[in-house]
Amino acid sequence: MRTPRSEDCEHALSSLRFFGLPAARQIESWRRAHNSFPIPKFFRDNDVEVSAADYFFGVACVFTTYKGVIYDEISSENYELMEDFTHRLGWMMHAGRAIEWSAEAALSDVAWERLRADAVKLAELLGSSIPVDTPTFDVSALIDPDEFITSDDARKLLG
Amino acid sequence: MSPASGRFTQHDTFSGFDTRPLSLHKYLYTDSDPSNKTDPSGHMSLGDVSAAQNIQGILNVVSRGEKVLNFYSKVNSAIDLVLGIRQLITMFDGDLTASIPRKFPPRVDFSDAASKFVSGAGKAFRIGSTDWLAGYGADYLLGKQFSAYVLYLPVLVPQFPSLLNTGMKINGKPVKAGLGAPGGKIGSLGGVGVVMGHERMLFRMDVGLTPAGHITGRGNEITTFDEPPFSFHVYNWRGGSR
Repeated sequence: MRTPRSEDCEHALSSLRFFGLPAARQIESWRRAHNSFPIPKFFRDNDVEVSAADYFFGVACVFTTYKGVIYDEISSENYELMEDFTHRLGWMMHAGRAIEWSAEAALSDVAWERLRADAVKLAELLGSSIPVDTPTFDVSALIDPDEFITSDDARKLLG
Repeated sequence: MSPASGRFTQHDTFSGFDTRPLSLHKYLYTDSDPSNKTDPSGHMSLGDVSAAQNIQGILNVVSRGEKVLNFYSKVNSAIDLVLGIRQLITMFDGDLTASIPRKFPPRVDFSDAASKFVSGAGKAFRIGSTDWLAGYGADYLLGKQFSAYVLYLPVLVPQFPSLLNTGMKINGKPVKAGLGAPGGKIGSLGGVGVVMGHERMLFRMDVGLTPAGHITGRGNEITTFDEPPFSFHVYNWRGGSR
């Protein structure tokens, strides 16, 4: 039943490294994914702008799904930095608006800059440098999007 | 509770937390070889509390979830909530008021939720326990300590995920209350997890059936099953997302 540790670890580290990439490479990753894989809909809209938000949010979901492997691997002195990064990312996910996950936000938003800085620092501590090749994520294959989206039933009953 | 007003009139002592789970222990013993369940690796000499005891403690956490869902089923108004929060405080020492929505959703029928949570939890336990025991054993051998149980409370309004101390203990380990869900998701009615190295949600019950088109087994999910009108998600030892 369990995915091999090394594979889970690679998903966790590659999604962490993604958030440390310069904005231009994050956008390049989205463009490639947009042309290669179906991107789950996390935001309820259909234009291209939201597609970038869906992809970036999806990579955040990949990290959230597999982050436990990093918690298992890190030393106690790096634990706080991991907490800082996951808290910052979790808070951005909680805010949950497409505009804050857009390509424009990745390029210019200070929240993305801070997230980037935390991701770079954490990746370096984990001995995982920013990759030369821009990674592309097939989000649907790596996570269950329903874990992060309020179901229609729940929306009807609770919304 | 007064039948006439439908409101709480006095505190409920909520005694007898641990009576119900005993009836569920058959799931641990009747369908399996106890030696394999308790020591899948052949290396588990776990000191003060065994892996099997700690995993079995999950069923004790279920009874707290049952009480919480029974509490929600009695709530019909904001006044009930204020009175009822006092009852919750008798269950948990921590501050749980943030978990209670100001306006109770009128269309949710919680009358079956508590019993479905108990029956579904037994099924989830049967599905997941072999993987959980194996994961526990592997992590124990790596030096990780089992540090807490987690009871996930209903997420009916968007809340940032957090863990609170409850003041309760099972097998000498604290029980923490899990609030909120990632990404502002709502619809979870309860779940159970553990903290060993990091937080691991092991199963969860949601409002509504498994969404159409759901593909089972992605991420850390083992499977899903429905207990209409609710659905359960069972995760491997890595744990569900929070």
